[in-house]
Amino acid sequence: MDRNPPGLPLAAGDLGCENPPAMAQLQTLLEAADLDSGEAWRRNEMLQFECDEWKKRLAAEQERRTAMEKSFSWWITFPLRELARMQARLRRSMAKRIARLGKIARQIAIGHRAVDQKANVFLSEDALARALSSEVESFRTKGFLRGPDAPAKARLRAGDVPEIAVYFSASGNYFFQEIALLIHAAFVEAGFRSVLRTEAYGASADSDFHLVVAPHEFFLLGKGSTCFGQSFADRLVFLNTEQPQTKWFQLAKVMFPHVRHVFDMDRQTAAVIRSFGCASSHLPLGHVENFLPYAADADLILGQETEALSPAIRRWRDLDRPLADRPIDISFVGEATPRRSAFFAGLAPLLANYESHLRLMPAGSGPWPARGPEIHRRTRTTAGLSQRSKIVINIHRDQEHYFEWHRLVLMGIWQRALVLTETVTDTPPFVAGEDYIQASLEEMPRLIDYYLRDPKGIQEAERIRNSAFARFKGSCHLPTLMKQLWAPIFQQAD
Amino acid sequence: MNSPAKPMTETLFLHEDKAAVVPRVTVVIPLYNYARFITEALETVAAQTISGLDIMVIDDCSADDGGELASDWMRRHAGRFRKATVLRHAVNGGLAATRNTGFGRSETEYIFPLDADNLIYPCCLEKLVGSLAHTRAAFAYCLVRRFLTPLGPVPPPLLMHLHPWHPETLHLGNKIDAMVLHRKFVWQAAGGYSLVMPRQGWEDYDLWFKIARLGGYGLHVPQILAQYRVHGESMLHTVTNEKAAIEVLGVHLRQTYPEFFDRVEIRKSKRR
Repeated sequence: MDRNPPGLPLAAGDLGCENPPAMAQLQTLLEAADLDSGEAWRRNEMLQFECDEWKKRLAAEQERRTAMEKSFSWWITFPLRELARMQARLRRSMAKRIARLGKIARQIAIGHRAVDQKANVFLSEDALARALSSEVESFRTKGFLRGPDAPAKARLRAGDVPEIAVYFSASGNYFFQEIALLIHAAFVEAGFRSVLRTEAYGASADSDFHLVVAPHEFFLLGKGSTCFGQSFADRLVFLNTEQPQTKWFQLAKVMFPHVRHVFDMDRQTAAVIRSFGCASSHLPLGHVENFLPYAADADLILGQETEALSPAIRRWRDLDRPLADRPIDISFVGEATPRRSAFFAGLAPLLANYESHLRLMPAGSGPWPARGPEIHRRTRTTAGLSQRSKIVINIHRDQEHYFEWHRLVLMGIWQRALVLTETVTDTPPFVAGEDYIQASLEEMPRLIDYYLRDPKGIQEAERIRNSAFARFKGSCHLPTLMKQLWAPIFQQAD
Repeated sequence: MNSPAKPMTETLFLHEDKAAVVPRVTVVIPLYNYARFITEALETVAAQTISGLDIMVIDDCSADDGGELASDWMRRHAGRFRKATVLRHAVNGGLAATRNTGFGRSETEYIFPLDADNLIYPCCLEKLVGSLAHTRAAFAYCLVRRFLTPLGPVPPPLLMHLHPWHPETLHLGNKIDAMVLHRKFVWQAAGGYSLVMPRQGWEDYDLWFKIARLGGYGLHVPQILAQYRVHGESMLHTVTNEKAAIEVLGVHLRQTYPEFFDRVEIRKSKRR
């Protein structure tokens, strides 16, 4: 189990690290670990090229400085001024780099005291390199399980009702918290005992199993790695939420071999994880009756995201009314990646004719945490917007045709909107054309007009959204799915 | 309260339908050497879906015939507006003074400053007024699409105004262009656009600080309703983003609004 599984390798750039010595050191480490795909080699070559460029620049700076130190003027007035300038430049560039550093890598650096948070600069590049590489390496060897060990607990016997603790990161994205809430609700409806936890409260000692939602956030953002001791490994289950091409998946991947089971909300990603030699299965996030955050009988909460909407729209409710009655024509909530920005900028003349709601978060702005008064507000707001939208549109963040389950199913089909998506991979039980509409980016403007203006299109949209919801409710009843998927895990533990 | 400065002006064109009800919005277009863009901008104003509308073009002593072009266009389209005005500054007063002239002379509750090289979509004003009217926000701003003249690949970002209003991050840079729907009384209370800036180009940024200092906030309308033209002679390229200007203006803003730059103060206000 300790051996690194083959598959997509981790690249130094994935950690958001942009300083050359750190990248060089990390690169050596990662190359030694596992590299077996052409894509990874290509990426590594690009990184190597960037590293070389940085090395050249640093060498040139060093030469300049050495020459300066030898010159006569160095000893008169120039050097002090120049040195001060260089220091200021370095500080600025460091501040920029730290701003660009991924949130998770930054947390690691802070945890290892490699960052002076007050001045917002790295203490030293070596310190950062050491912090990042030691963290990744430690995760490969169960370093994410450095908390207290589990107390001795009686084994489950047939007929016992197991208790499952569901964990999410308190500093993570609000939609992972939303998924944790949904799973918790499904466990309760399925008749299991379940508790919800964040890393701040540590491991739930009384629970039989521990399900961590979005492990890449839980173990890396806060103090998640001090929650569980190594004796928990056998009862630890992950729900991975990340797409295989992302850096977050690469980080989570090193932890997968050490836990009992890994669920994934995407069918194909679950297959990818199985190909690493890990126990994995697809967990379709399905329907739970009376799931409060998606309740449709409430006004849209007044907040920064919704204040621009009229009180009439905020008060609008009733999912059973015809789709054509909904006050928002098209909505989208997601990160403003360059690809999405380009698409929506091109679509602007058409969208100006409709009532649109595009909540495009600036790229690289980090997680959208839901803490304190924010708890549940973001989820209820996003779901509320979908409940008032005729079309929930989905544009991929990059070229991958991943089935974005959260946006398509939870925010689209569940909220009874018509889902219009860029082409996605087939994901049963849903069928393209029957439960959602998929199209290329070029076809989108025509389809938007068709489903919003053409009487035939309006009828078709009504039929599709109802069919999708019926299929979702019938085939994806989450409490039933939970019983089926967890039965083998309970049996192994007996 | 500082009263906004009023440079000397002459009226090139004036049409007013005195019998009509005063509308809710005036579009104020400052014009300086943009004769080749002004007609296109005016056409997008005339195409607005909002029924009542005032329009005012202020020629800041252009060297080209932009003022005359605007007057000709007004003559042909005067019926679309309750009040259509073209003014000319006797001397070049700069962008802040030009906008102040327009804002000061407008008679409506809301004012939309439209730079002569930018464009708005037909429903822009209707939607912005609809959103701002039922809130207590000081101004409303929409998503803005950037486009290039002549048409070509636009340097990123393709969309502007993605950031919601957040006074605590104002010091990190200007995320909001001047194209927003203002309440006139807020502009007055803030003392108008500053005329004492060391360099031109950041008058709008300065105004956001003034509004934030008054406790006002911007309403983010998440719809793409306006277009920002990217071209070699736009102020963003020639003045605003010039390195020396950034440094001088940065120092000026830091000295004028220290409470937004002082991290300790920000943390304290966060705790409060």
